[in-house]
Amino acid sequence: MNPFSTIKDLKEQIKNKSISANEALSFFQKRTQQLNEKLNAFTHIFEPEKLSTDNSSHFSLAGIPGIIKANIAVKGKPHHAGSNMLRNHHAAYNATIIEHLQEHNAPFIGIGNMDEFAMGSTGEYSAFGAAKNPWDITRSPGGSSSGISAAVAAGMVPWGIGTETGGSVRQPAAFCNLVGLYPTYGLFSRYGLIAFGSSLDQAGPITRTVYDNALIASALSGHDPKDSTSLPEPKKDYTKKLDGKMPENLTIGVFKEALSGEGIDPQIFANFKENLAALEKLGCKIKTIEHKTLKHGVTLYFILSRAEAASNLSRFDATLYGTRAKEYENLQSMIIKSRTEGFGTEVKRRIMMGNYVLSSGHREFYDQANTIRQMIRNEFDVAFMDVDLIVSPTTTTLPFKFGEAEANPLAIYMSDYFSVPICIAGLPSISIPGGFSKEGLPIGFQFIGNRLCEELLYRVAHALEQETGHFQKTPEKQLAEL
Amino acid sequence: MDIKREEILKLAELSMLSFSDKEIDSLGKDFREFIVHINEIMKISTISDPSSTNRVNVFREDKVIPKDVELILQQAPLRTSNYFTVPSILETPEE
Repeated sequence: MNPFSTIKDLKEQIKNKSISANEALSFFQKRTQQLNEKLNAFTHIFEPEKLSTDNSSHFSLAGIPGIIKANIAVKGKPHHAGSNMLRNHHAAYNATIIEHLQEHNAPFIGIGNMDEFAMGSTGEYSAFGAAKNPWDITRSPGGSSSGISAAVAAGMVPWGIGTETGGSVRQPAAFCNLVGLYPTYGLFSRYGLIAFGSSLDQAGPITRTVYDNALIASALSGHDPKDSTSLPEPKKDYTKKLDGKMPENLTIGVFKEALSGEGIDPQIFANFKENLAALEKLGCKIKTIEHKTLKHGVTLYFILSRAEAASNLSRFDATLYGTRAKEYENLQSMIIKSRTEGFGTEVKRRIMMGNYVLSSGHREFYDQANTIRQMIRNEFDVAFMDVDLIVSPTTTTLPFKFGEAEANPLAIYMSDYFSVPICIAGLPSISIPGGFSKEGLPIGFQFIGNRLCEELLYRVAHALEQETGHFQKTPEKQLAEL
Repeated sequence: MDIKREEILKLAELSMLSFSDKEIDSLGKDFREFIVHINEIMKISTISDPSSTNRVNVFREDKVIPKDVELILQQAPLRTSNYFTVPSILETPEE
């Protein structure tokens, strides 16, 4: 069996009986057991529950296992969000998206490593140690969905579910030659996700191919009354129109900044231009767009995400759940000691900054940030009057070496230049394999669509993916040398 | 705009966190960088956009849904039969 098989291939093989669902499942379980010691992608590995071998329906995932990020609730399973605060916590219920996946017989074989409370871009802020990039284990597989991208890239599982607040699905996908989606805000239910920045948080699938991603997204979609920000959208089959053909008369927008190459790694810039040329070859018209507030995205994200994080993380007081400090004098000291011991440095830093922005006397910061947020949205609305989709590099840097984040935090934040404004605007965006650097490191290429244009996003991404074929390359050789 | 040590201590109190002196110094440095960013944002001229404040509340019926109470209690850091145990909030008055 090929560990780098796509979901589509596996379903075909199970259907024509060249393998059984049980054989497929145990193959991936065994591979996960073998590789995890080296890659630290999973923090917990377990036997899947409710096993079904029925793979007859179009969406069924029987025998095709996935990895779930540790901030998504799977009933009875570890739900630690990469934090000591929740080290021994187990989910008492299922997230809505987990219920959706179980309706399609999806087996989960473990919990994915991540930066603590999804705050990080490298996976190094996990209380469970950093996951490693299968393409080069001295480098990060991205973050915060670090374990998800590492596991899928290594062929331990064919798919995984991450979460993104400002790049945390698309960036790890880009760093590991995978496909990652940030959906329209509200398309997938957030019920059962540990909140970080609620107005930005969304779950997203990480897969090998666009088709597989669309298949998982179809399963995740659907309105959820338990999430007040869930959109009243019916479930959709996003695989339906994936015929590999580029839709005709398409106009693709390119940010002026992406064309100038400023602040972008030269190898990523060269690669970006190659992908633009491929789009033109497929008949797309390219149009430069100016988005004046785009450059404020990273700073704005700083303010909004930290303010929301400070509010969301105030619930961790070690009264009803979580790790309680061993010694304390009274209720207040119990809470302070538990939070001080339970949270890592980065999380504490963000809580402090969030409370600064929200504290009395500073209200104008948050209000100003929200006004600029609306300006960013409005500018995208205007842009989408002229173009069907927008493209950019997913990240401005190659996969980070371990230790870079602490040494140069600003470079790490700037790497999200093209990804965070999309979350701020609540627009859907997909990162696909764009090619490789001369050292053989993966580079991502991203499409951005207007709200609820996932279908077009998938069609176009699929057509480019089929043309360039970068998804076929795997880190097989690197893994053999481990 | 700068940040004073007392202000950091006040924020720590609001955040229900405690820090060592060394950590306070390091936070001071982070705050100063953060404030540079905030100043940048404050300098942008904006036009008040009514749509940005056009937010609505979403309500749902407050229905009791039976849950597995035991599963929830199992997550308690400390429990006494079917209760969560926490230090007493009100002190017992002296006799």
